[in-house]
Amino acid sequence: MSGNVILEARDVSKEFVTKRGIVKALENVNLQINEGEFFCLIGPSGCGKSTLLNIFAGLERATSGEVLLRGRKIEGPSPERQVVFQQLALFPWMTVIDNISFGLKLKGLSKEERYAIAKKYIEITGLKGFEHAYPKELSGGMQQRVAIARAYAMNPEILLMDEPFGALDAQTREFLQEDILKTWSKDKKTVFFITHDVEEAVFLSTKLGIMSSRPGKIAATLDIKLPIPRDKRIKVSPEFIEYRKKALELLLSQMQVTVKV
Amino acid sequence: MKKIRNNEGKGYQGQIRNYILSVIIFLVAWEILAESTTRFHLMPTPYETALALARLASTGILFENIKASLFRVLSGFTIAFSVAVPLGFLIGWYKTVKELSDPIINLFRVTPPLAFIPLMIIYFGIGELSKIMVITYAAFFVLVVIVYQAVRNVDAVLIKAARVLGAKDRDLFFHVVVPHSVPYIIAGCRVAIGSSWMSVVASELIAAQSGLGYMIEDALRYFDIDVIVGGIIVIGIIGLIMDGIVRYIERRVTVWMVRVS
Repeated sequence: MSGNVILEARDVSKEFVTKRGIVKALENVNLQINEGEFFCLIGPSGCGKSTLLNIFAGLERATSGEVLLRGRKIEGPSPERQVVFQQLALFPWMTVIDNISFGLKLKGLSKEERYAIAKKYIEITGLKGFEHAYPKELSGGMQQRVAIARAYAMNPEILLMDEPFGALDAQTREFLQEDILKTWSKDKKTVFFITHDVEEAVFLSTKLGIMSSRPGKIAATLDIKLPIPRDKRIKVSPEFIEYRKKALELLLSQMQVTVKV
Repeated sequence: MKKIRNNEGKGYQGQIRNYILSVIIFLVAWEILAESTTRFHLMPTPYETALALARLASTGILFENIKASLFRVLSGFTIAFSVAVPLGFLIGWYKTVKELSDPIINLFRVTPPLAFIPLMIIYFGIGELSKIMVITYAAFFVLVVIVYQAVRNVDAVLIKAARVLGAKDRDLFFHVVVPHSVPYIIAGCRVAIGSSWMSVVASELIAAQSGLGYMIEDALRYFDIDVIVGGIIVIGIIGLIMDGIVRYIERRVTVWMVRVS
């Protein structure tokens, strides 16, 4: 990889005030993501992965610490950081093509311009023929494709994906994993991807982060040096299995820490 | 595939058949009731009722009265709609406005419009204005409440998605909140038109020189029971037609909605 840091978290902490008192979700998270990386973050559920992603997106604010994108402090949401959510987040009153080009419309692009860009990503994500369908007519997997196309169409600096396949069935998941890798291999757009599925994380990432239980910290990182491009046959290779074992051990050690405490 | 279609066709035909059956049962029951009480002359037969309506129609009185009632409903409803919808958005959008208006709206929401008829007569006389005001009142609170609840119901993830795509407050309002609210507003219109129609008849019964309510009230003076029953039937049918029109518009405007049947 080029080694240029694109996104950097410095001592990011986040506390929530709840009825039962203050909950520490994140504690001194330090993380650097390099340009062109496919960075997967795994961690036990409730460890604050999504909170961290929301802070990167500018949808939530850190209680202390800061996040920099190419050295500029993140203050709020911006089209340069696109998010694919776990929940289906398409606008139900817009057709597929209008969903994908909505952000471009907000940028002030003309209908021809934005449709041209949208069509390119409709092609890439395999949505051809569904341009004028409404989200309700699509399966969950197809809807997530639209959400991914919508994020790519904005040509962001980084894509933030919050368990985008979490709500899908296993088969659809595998399809989309391969698809997203294919898309990523084309332009090497930096991806920050959250999942709780170790296999998915190893399969997708060039670098893996393991988060500890609440309060979340980055406990370890692991470079995944599997060849690119990959397809799902790699999942039975000894290297893959070795990486998966390593990642799982790191993850389990994090979980045991909390059990002991 | 074909089999499913056939079943669907059968289901639809069955539905129509049952609807017709339902009307026939009603007419037969009515006929039996009327015939069995014929010596008291308390209930005209369907035929006698139709005759009375035909008589009123041929002199034009019926249509005069329908026109008067419809004019009042449409005027009152239009006034209510044009004030209630913007106000509902305002209340839903600004928390302070909601907190300021909530107690008042809730108080008047549960006060029946008919309670205002005497007051309206004192203020506006027994002319058009007093009736239109009662109807405005009847439609207003239904619409306000539905619109502001719609605004507050917007899925949080859609707001997040729009923000990430670059939506400012203004864009959120016009591209997310408003389209999201349209189906609710139409549903509100259905309820509001229904309650307007009930209120117009009631206010015409109390004080009016025209309208379907007046027609019934006037018939009471001559104990013209055929016209009273005929008037009730006409009121019901017009209510049904108005509801049908709104439902038709609803289906047209909200093709994108997931419908649970």
